[in-house]
Amino acid sequence: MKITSVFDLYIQRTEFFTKLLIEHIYLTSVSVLIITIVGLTTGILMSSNKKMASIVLTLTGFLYTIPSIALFGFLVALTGIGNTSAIIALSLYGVLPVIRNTYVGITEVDAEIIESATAMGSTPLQLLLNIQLPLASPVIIAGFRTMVIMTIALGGIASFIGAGGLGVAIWRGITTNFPEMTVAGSLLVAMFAIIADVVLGFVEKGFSSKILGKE
Amino acid sequence: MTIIEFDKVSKSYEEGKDVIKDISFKIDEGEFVTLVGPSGCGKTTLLKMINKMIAPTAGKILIRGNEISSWDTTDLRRSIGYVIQQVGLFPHMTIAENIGYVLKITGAQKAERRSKALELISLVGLDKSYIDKYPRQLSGGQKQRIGVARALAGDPDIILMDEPFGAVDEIARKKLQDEFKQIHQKLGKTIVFVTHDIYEALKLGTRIVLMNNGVIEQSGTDTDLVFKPASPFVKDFFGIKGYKALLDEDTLQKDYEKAIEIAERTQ
Ligand SMILES: Nc1ncnc2c1ncn2[C@@H]1O[C@H](COP(=O)(O)OP(=O)(O)OP(=O)(O)O)[C@@H](O)[C@H]1O
Ligand SMILES: [Mg+2]
Repeated sequence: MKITSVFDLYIQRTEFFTKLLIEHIYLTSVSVLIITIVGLTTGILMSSNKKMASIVLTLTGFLYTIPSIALFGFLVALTGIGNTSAIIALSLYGVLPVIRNTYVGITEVDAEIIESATAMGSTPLQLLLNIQLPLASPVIIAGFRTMVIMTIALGGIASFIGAGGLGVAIWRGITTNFPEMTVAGSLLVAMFAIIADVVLGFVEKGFSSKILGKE
Repeated sequence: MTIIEFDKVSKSYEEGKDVIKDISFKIDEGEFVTLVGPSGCGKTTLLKMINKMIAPTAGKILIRGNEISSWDTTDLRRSIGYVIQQVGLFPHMTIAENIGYVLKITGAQKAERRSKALELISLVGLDKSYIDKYPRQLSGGQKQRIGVARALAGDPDIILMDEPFGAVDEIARKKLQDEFKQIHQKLGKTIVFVTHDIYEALKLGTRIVLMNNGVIEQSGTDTDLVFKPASPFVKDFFGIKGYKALLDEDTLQKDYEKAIEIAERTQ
């Protein structure tokens, strides 16, 4: 297999790869959106409820001991083949870093800062919005970044359960013994992940320099 | 006029172990009360019951004549300034935003918050150019000043302070004490001030309250506590240090000069 034949493939089948990339972006974005909403909410609720915190952390920890393929298989039985199952699986996997980092970020804000803000008469919501979330934001964004990369990569195997995305090319390459196709799909997944990582890296830096003052 | 009243107040963190034991006492409007006593005697606990940061296990606390349970917690806290040793400035906000925080949560506009911050930063003796800096760019003493300014922003009639000048060096502390004493005289707020430092307690307080083991050993003026100690504990606590704190510095300075003169003459 020559690497040039991979590029030939991109040129010959531009439309096919573009469609897969768009599907991949769609699958990932929907999952990221769900994860962000669920993860932030759960993390925030946990930070004021110790019991819930230990339950959620145990549950999500347990989730990670299930191999992704087994989870996919289980979901197919429940929600069938297609994008829905893939999005559920991606969301389940990606939610831990967001939950954990939101929780840790909020609970690690200095006690004196919380004490001052509370004693000055902040309502719990004002405390959350003005103090806790801004101060936790560098940690939360670090978790978000990890999650996005994970979701993009994991999205590559979502087509094993009939979802779209670049996994289709990888899967087809494997089943038809067409390595260029597999490499072409994988390469695009990797590129997508790297670009997302670099962009989010800048965002993360921006936030921590605003909050922590590092230039 | 009584502004803060403790009526048979007790507090225990663990069953059967009271850290505040049946304390009753009143603070009048405009008083500067300093709370002193050995570590662990309950000063912080007593202070934090005033702004509902800690709930008493028994007894009543009245603020401006109303029992604490009838106060809305946020309203009560917004009407009481609070300064702690670690200051607890918000690191992601500028000095102006820090000072204006109480005004922000009560819905004041940005322009009003800024002009209040400018007014207060001068009052606490800092240059106006600090207003757009971040807490990390300030020294310990400067942070303490901002902590005081922030506590004054909502124009509270009561200010609670827990060892506010504890973390700065001797010289900066003396300066802060002098300036804060002037601020108190100028603004006439009621201040409850916890300290470890006997000298600070005697110098600042219009009334000094000495606590020990969850009870008030004695409450009175500086001369009451130093010259008329109510118990051996009070006498031991202030001792010669308390006596020295009451001596007039100018007289001492003259005595010192005289001593040097005599020493030089006998050489
Ligand atoms: N959250 C808590 N849980 C259990 N015990 C506590 C708690 N806070 C304080 N105590 C105990 O209550 C007593 C009084 O504590 P407090 O903090 O009021 O003392 P303090 O006079 O302010 O001491 P210091 O001068 O060291 O600050 C101490 O014995 C302390 O161990
Ligand atoms: Mg204390």
